[in-house]
Amino acid sequence: MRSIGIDIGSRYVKAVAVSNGGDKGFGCVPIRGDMKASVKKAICEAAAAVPSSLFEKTKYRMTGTGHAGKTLYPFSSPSQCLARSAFEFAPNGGIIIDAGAMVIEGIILSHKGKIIDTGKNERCSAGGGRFIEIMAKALGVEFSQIDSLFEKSSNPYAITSGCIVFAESEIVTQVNAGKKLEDIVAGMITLIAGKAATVCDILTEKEERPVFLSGGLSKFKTLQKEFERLSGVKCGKLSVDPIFTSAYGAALIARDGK
Amino acid sequence: MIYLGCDVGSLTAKAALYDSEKNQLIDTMLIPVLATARASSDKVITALLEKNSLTASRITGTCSTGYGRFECSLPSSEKSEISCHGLGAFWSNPKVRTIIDIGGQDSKAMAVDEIGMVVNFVMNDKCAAGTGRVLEVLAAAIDCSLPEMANAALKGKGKVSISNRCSVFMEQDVLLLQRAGHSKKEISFAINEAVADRVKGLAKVVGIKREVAISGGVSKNPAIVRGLERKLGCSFVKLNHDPQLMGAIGAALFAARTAEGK
Repeated sequence: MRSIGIDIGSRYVKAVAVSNGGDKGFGCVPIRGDMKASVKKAICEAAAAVPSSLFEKTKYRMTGTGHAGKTLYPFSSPSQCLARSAFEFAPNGGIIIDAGAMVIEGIILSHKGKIIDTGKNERCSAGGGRFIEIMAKALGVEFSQIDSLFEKSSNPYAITSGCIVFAESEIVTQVNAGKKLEDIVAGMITLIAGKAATVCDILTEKEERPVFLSGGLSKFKTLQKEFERLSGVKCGKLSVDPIFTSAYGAALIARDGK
Repeated sequence: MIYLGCDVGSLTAKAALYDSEKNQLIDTMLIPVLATARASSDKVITALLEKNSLTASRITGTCSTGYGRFECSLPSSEKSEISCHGLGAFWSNPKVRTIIDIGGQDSKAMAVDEIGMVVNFVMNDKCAAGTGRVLEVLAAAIDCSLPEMANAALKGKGKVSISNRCSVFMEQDVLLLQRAGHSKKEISFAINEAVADRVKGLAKVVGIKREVAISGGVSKNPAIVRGLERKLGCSFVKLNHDPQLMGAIGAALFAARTAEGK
């Protein structure tokens, strides 16, 4: 039996296919124009790695915040999917901090895989992946350069603007004033890591559990390092690429048949 | 005697020349900002003086305002943009008692007395929602220029709305509205309403005392102006000069008041 989880984000559709035997397939497609076409393409990419016979039924489960009311398949909330996915790599429970495109949110997972509590950064987006996207664009920096620029920095610049739009102007002013690119990039990573660490602090005060960092932002190695430094915790290892955490959770929920 | 006011904002730099004997504006200039506030003020002041065949020695007094006011080259004094916008708008139309200013990176509401001095104000400078910049970001999200978005918004009927107040979350809302198949005019209407709502909140805090005027670059956006008039239940009075230049005009007036002890 094959199960497919689909996570519709603000910019990308992520799909994960899983078989009962444990095979996994992944698909990630940018949403351009027709959302249904992007969903179909992501499903095809993921399903290609987990073939099934014509007589086998494929189960589907959808999640994410970008579906605009068009739930093409049965729907589970992003928190439910994150929890289900996390239960695979944290079978004894844990605290999962999900640093995504728009928000940083965390859940406390019980040893039975239930959500005990949740935490989130502010109602403002100065702390999500979109922040890094806007800053990187303003600085003319590729995502792939961010970790190496951070490592080169000796004097990280402390970004003072709380608002993403004002922060963009602030860093442009700093570049024009001669501030080093690597110091601004390091300041940006430290700012985001600090926001994630704050969510983590709130949750670890309630429960002492192993901590895991997931979501697209955790792909930046330096962000994870800064997060560990600021929160004083050591992150556990995930069993899937962090951008697919929610889709993977959705696939597992579909497979479980719940 | 001739006085010079310079207003270096986040997106544009403005300068105004004022003749105190005739109580008249001589000329004004507006340019997009350069890399630094110093370079922007140098350029706009030089261009304005050259255009009017004046040298710096002919200027009796100067005053700067805006976020770049401390870096201006020529000006000998500085005033906050709140004071300058208040005085500028009052001088441009002496009936004005409340001014709503929406600039590139901040928005504010000010109450002025019968000599143009600010007696109360509220400012939004921590969050971009409710400023010109957020309109730029959201116009780009729907692939429109600012005038195109304003024109489209004027045709909208208010079938959809944007509930988020953070500019990035608003951008997300816009993406979802697009995905749900809503038209550009309805999305534009929702964007303008959301921004106008933020500014309305400021105006209500400071209190609406007639007459009310709107200044700043966003005052040139008819959809925002119409939306705010509807939400505040009043019509904005016309300013007799370009509403985007109120800061520079106010600064020139302050330079004159300081020099002549008025």
